[in-house]
Amino acid sequence: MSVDGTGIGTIMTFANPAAGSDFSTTVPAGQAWRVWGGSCHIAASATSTNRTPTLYFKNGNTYIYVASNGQDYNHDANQTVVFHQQHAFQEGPPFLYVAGQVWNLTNNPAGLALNTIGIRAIWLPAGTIIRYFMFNMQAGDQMSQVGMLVEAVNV
Amino acid sequence: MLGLGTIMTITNPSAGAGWQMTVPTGKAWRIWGGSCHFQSSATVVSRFPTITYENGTGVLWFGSQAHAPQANSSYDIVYHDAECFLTDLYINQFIPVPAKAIWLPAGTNIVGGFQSIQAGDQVSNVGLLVEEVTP
Repeated sequence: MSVDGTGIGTIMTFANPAAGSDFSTTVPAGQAWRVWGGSCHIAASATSTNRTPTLYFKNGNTYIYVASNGQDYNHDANQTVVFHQQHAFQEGPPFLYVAGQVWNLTNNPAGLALNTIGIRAIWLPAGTIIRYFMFNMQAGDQMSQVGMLVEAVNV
Repeated sequence: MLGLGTIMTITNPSAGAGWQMTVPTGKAWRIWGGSCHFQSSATVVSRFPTITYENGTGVLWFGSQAHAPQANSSYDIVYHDAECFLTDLYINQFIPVPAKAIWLPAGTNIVGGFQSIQAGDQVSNVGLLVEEVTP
Protein backbone atom coordinates (compact mmCIF):
# COMPACT_ATOMS: atom_id res chain seq x y z
CA MET A 1 0.00 0.00 0.00
CA SER A 2 1.26 3.45 -0.85
CA VAL A 3 0.51 5.93 1.87
CA ASP A 4 2.54 8.88 0.66
CA GLY A 5 0.23 11.86 0.55
CA THR A 6 -3.02 10.00 1.07
CA GLY A 7 -5.68 11.28 3.38
CA ILE A 8 -7.02 14.75 4.06
CA GLY A 9 -6.13 16.47 7.27
CA THR A 10 -8.58 16.75 10.12
CA ILE A 11 -8.49 19.31 12.89
CA MET A 12 -8.57 17.43 16.14
CA THR A 13 -9.34 19.30 19.33
CA PHE A 14 -8.88 18.09 22.87
CA ALA A 15 -10.22 18.82 26.33
CA ASN A 16 -8.14 21.16 28.43
CA PRO A 17 -5.68 19.36 30.71
CA ALA A 18 -5.90 20.01 34.43
CA ALA A 19 -3.81 22.91 35.75
CA GLY A 20 -0.18 21.89 35.99
CA SER A 21 -0.70 19.02 33.55
CA ASP A 22 0.48 18.74 29.98
CA PHE A 23 -1.15 17.43 26.84
CA SER A 24 -0.84 13.98 25.39
CA THR A 25 -2.84 11.81 23.04
CA THR A 26 -2.27 8.39 21.49
CA VAL A 27 -2.61 7.17 17.92
CA PRO A 28 -5.56 4.76 18.11
CA ALA A 29 -5.38 1.07 17.27
CA GLY A 30 -5.89 0.39 13.57
CA GLN A 31 -4.68 3.81 12.46
CA ALA A 32 -1.53 5.68 11.53
CA TRP A 33 -1.23 9.45 11.93
CA ARG A 34 0.85 12.21 10.45
CA VAL A 35 0.81 15.39 12.53
CA TRP A 36 1.29 18.41 10.29
CA GLY A 37 0.88 21.12 12.88
CA GLY A 38 -0.96 22.30 15.94
CA SER A 39 -1.05 24.74 18.76
CA CYS A 40 -2.14 25.36 22.32
CA HIS A 41 -2.44 28.25 24.70
CA ILE A 42 -0.38 28.45 27.87
CA ALA A 43 -1.19 30.66 30.82
CA ALA A 44 1.84 30.49 33.09
CA SER A 45 1.32 31.12 36.78
CA ALA A 46 3.31 33.76 38.62
CA THR A 47 5.95 31.25 39.69
CA SER A 48 9.30 32.29 38.26
CA THR A 49 11.14 29.48 36.49
CA ASN A 50 12.50 28.57 33.07
CA ARG A 51 9.79 26.67 31.24
CA THR A 52 10.98 25.05 28.02
CA PRO A 53 8.26 23.93 25.59
CA THR A 54 8.95 20.40 24.36
CA LEU A 55 7.20 17.92 22.11
CA TYR A 56 7.84 14.26 21.55
CA PHE A 57 6.51 11.23 19.67
CA LYS A 58 7.09 8.02 21.66
CA ASN A 59 6.02 4.45 21.03
CA GLY A 60 6.62 2.06 23.89
CA ASN A 61 10.13 2.78 25.07
CA THR A 62 11.17 4.25 21.72
CA TYR A 63 11.39 7.97 21.18
CA ILE A 64 10.66 8.64 17.51
CA TYR A 65 11.05 12.38 17.61
CA VAL A 66 11.86 14.97 20.26
CA ALA A 67 12.19 18.72 19.91
CA SER A 68 12.28 21.67 22.23
CA ASN A 69 12.09 25.36 21.65
CA GLY A 70 15.49 26.92 22.18
CA GLN A 71 13.99 29.86 24.02
CA ASP A 72 13.12 29.33 27.66
CA TYR A 73 9.71 30.59 28.55
CA ASN A 74 11.02 32.61 31.44
CA HIS A 75 8.56 34.19 33.80
CA ASP A 76 10.24 37.16 35.33
CA ALA A 77 10.55 36.99 39.09
CA ASN A 78 9.06 40.47 39.45
CA GLN A 79 5.89 39.57 37.63
CA THR A 80 2.89 38.75 39.72
CA VAL A 81 0.47 38.31 36.88
CA VAL A 82 -0.41 35.38 34.69
CA PHE A 83 1.71 35.25 31.56
CA HIS A 84 -0.10 34.23 28.37
CA GLN A 85 1.50 32.73 25.31
CA GLN A 86 0.38 30.92 22.20
CA HIS A 87 2.42 27.84 21.34
CA ALA A 88 2.58 26.24 17.93
CA PHE A 89 4.30 23.24 16.38
CA GLN A 90 4.47 22.57 12.68
CA GLU A 91 6.31 20.70 9.96
CA GLY A 92 9.43 22.67 9.14
CA PRO A 93 12.01 24.72 10.95
CA PRO A 94 11.32 26.47 14.25
CA PHE A 95 10.88 30.19 14.57
CA LEU A 96 11.57 30.70 18.25
CA TYR A 97 9.62 33.66 19.51
CA VAL A 98 7.60 35.74 17.12
CA ALA A 99 7.44 39.14 18.74
CA GLY A 100 4.55 41.56 18.64
CA GLN A 101 1.90 39.27 17.26
CA VAL A 102 -1.65 39.83 18.41
CA TRP A 103 -2.17 36.54 20.11
CA ASN A 104 -3.43 36.56 23.68
CA LEU A 105 -1.28 39.33 24.98
CA THR A 106 -3.13 40.11 28.20
CA ASN A 107 -0.62 41.09 30.86
CA ASN A 108 2.30 40.40 28.57
CA PRO A 109 4.57 43.39 28.99
CA ALA A 110 7.35 41.95 26.87
CA GLY A 111 5.11 41.70 23.84
CA LEU A 112 6.33 38.17 23.11
CA ALA A 113 3.54 35.98 21.99
CA LEU A 114 4.20 33.02 19.75
CA ASN A 115 6.51 30.18 20.64
CA THR A 116 7.04 27.52 17.98
CA ILE A 117 8.63 24.10 17.65
CA GLY A 118 9.53 22.46 14.35
CA ILE A 119 8.36 18.89 13.89
CA ARG A 120 8.67 16.22 11.22
CA ALA A 121 5.50 14.85 9.64
CA ILE A 122 6.36 11.21 10.23
CA TRP A 123 3.81 8.42 9.87
CA LEU A 124 3.24 7.42 13.46
CA PRO A 125 2.08 3.85 14.11
CA ALA A 126 -0.77 2.98 16.44
CA GLY A 127 0.12 3.34 20.08
CA THR A 128 2.44 6.29 19.54
CA ILE A 129 2.07 8.96 22.20
CA ILE A 130 2.11 12.60 21.10
CA ARG A 131 3.01 14.70 24.09
CA TYR A 132 3.43 18.45 24.36
CA PHE A 133 4.68 19.77 27.65
CA MET A 134 6.90 22.32 29.31
CA PHE A 135 10.09 21.42 31.07
CA ASN A 136 9.64 22.85 34.61
CA MET A 137 5.90 23.22 34.21
CA GLN A 138 4.37 24.58 37.41
CA ALA A 139 1.28 23.46 39.30
CA GLY A 140 -0.58 26.65 38.47
CA ASP A 141 0.20 26.67 34.75
CA GLN A 142 -2.83 26.12 32.53
CA MET A 143 -2.77 24.63 29.05
CA SER A 144 -5.84 25.06 26.86
CA GLN A 145 -7.13 25.21 23.27
CA VAL A 146 -5.11 22.20 22.15
CA GLY A 147 -5.63 21.40 18.48
CA MET A 148 -3.76 19.49 15.79
CA LEU A 149 -3.99 19.06 12.04
CA VAL A 150 -3.76 15.28 11.66
CA GLU A 151 -3.71 13.10 8.55
CA ALA A 152 -5.10 9.73 9.62
CA VAL A 153 -5.29 6.49 7.65
CA ASN A 154 -6.74 3.11 8.56
CA VAL A 155 -4.18 0.32 8.40
CA MET B 1 5.84 0.88 -2.67
CA LEU B 2 6.09 3.11 0.34
CA GLY B 3 4.96 1.69 3.60
CA LEU B 4 4.09 2.68 7.09
CA GLY B 5 6.72 2.54 9.78
CA THR B 6 7.15 -0.25 12.28
CA ILE B 7 8.88 -0.05 15.63
CA MET B 8 11.85 -2.42 15.54
CA THR B 9 13.35 -3.44 18.87
CA ILE B 10 16.22 -5.70 19.91
CA THR B 11 17.25 -7.37 23.13
CA ASN B 12 19.47 -5.32 25.38
CA PRO B 13 23.18 -5.59 24.55
CA SER B 14 25.65 -6.80 27.13
CA ALA B 15 27.04 -4.29 29.59
CA GLY B 16 29.85 -2.32 28.03
CA ALA B 17 28.60 -2.77 24.46
CA GLY B 18 26.68 -0.65 21.99
CA TRP B 19 23.79 -1.92 19.88
CA GLN B 20 23.42 -3.05 16.28
CA MET B 21 20.63 -3.86 13.84
CA THR B 22 21.06 -5.15 10.28
CA VAL B 23 18.76 -4.60 7.32
CA PRO B 24 17.47 -8.12 6.49
CA THR B 25 18.12 -9.91 3.22
CA GLY B 26 15.62 -8.87 0.54
CA LYS B 27 14.61 -5.68 2.34
CA ALA B 28 15.46 -1.99 2.33
CA TRP B 29 14.99 0.29 5.31
CA ARG B 30 14.43 3.96 5.90
CA ILE B 31 14.93 4.99 9.52
CA TRP B 32 12.66 7.79 10.68
CA GLY B 33 13.73 7.98 14.28
CA GLY B 34 14.58 5.98 17.34
CA SER B 35 16.25 5.90 20.68
CA CYS B 36 18.03 3.88 23.30
CA HIS B 37 18.50 4.29 27.00
CA PHE B 38 22.01 4.70 28.37
CA GLN B 39 23.09 4.22 31.97
CA SER B 40 26.69 5.22 32.53
CA SER B 41 28.83 3.65 35.22
CA ALA B 42 30.80 5.62 37.81
CA THR B 43 33.93 5.70 35.65
CA VAL B 44 34.67 9.26 34.59
CA VAL B 45 35.52 9.42 30.88
CA SER B 46 34.21 11.17 27.77
CA ARG B 47 31.64 8.86 26.16
CA PHE B 48 30.40 10.34 22.92
CA PRO B 49 27.23 8.66 21.57
CA THR B 50 27.42 7.84 17.87
CA ILE B 51 25.36 6.20 15.17
CA THR B 52 26.87 4.66 12.07
CA TYR B 53 25.45 3.13 8.91
CA GLU B 54 28.03 0.75 7.47
CA ASN B 55 28.06 -2.21 5.13
CA GLY B 56 31.05 -4.15 6.37
CA THR B 57 33.52 -2.49 4.04
CA GLY B 58 32.92 1.19 4.60
CA VAL B 59 30.95 3.80 6.48
CA LEU B 60 27.84 5.06 4.67
CA TRP B 61 26.88 7.66 7.22
CA PHE B 62 28.05 8.73 10.66
CA GLY B 63 26.65 11.01 13.31
CA SER B 64 27.82 11.88 16.80
CA GLN B 65 26.80 13.89 19.79
CA ALA B 66 29.28 16.58 20.74
CA HIS B 67 28.31 16.42 24.40
CA ALA B 68 29.52 13.46 26.44
CA PRO B 69 27.14 11.94 29.01
CA GLN B 70 28.30 12.30 32.57
CA ALA B 71 29.39 9.40 34.72
CA ASN B 72 26.80 7.58 36.82
CA SER B 73 23.92 9.14 34.93
CA SER B 74 20.87 8.04 33.00
CA TYR B 75 20.10 9.31 29.49
CA ASP B 76 17.83 8.65 26.57
CA ILE B 77 19.81 8.87 23.34
CA VAL B 78 17.47 9.95 20.52
CA TYR B 79 18.07 9.71 16.77
CA HIS B 80 15.93 11.64 14.31
CA ASP B 81 16.02 14.09 11.46
CA ALA B 82 17.99 17.15 12.50
CA GLU B 83 16.36 19.91 10.51
CA CYS B 84 14.08 21.07 13.25
CA PHE B 85 16.25 20.51 16.26
CA LEU B 86 17.27 23.26 18.64
CA THR B 87 17.76 22.21 22.22
CA ASP B 88 16.44 19.40 24.28
CA LEU B 89 16.44 19.65 28.03
CA TYR B 90 14.21 16.67 28.48
CA ILE B 91 16.05 13.88 26.73
CA ASN B 92 19.55 15.23 27.14
CA GLN B 93 21.21 13.58 24.14
CA PHE B 94 20.36 13.82 20.48
CA ILE B 95 22.03 12.63 17.26
CA PRO B 96 20.76 13.60 13.80
CA VAL B 97 20.04 10.98 11.15
CA PRO B 98 19.13 11.69 7.51
CA ALA B 99 15.70 10.09 7.55
CA LYS B 100 14.30 11.34 4.27
CA ALA B 101 17.31 10.80 2.10
CA ILE B 102 18.62 7.31 2.60
CA TRP B 103 17.14 3.94 1.74
CA LEU B 104 19.49 1.48 3.38
CA PRO B 105 20.06 -1.72 1.37
CA ALA B 106 20.06 -5.25 2.77
CA GLY B 107 23.12 -6.02 4.83
CA THR B 108 23.57 -2.50 6.09
CA ASN B 109 24.47 -2.43 9.75
CA ILE B 110 23.02 0.31 11.92
CA VAL B 111 25.37 0.64 14.85
CA GLY B 112 24.66 2.66 17.95
CA GLY B 113 28.01 3.14 19.64
CA PHE B 114 29.71 5.11 22.35
CA GLN B 115 33.26 6.25 22.03
CA SER B 116 35.10 5.07 25.15
CA ILE B 117 32.18 3.02 26.43
CA GLN B 118 33.01 1.48 29.79
CA ALA B 119 32.55 -2.09 30.98
CA GLY B 120 29.89 -1.07 33.45
CA ASP B 121 27.83 1.06 31.06
CA GLN B 122 24.48 -0.39 30.03
CA VAL B 123 22.48 0.25 26.86
CA SER B 124 18.81 -0.79 26.86
CA ASN B 125 15.41 -0.13 25.28
CA VAL B 126 16.78 0.10 21.75
CA GLY B 127 14.07 0.89 19.21
CA LEU B 128 13.82 2.36 15.73
CA LEU B 129 10.86 3.49 13.65
CA VAL B 130 11.67 1.74 10.38
CA GLU B 131 9.94 1.94 7.00
CA GLU B 132 10.62 -1.41 5.35
CA VAL B 133 10.08 -2.35 1.72
CA THR B 134 10.82 -5.38 -0.42
CA PRO B 135 12.69 -3.98 -3.44
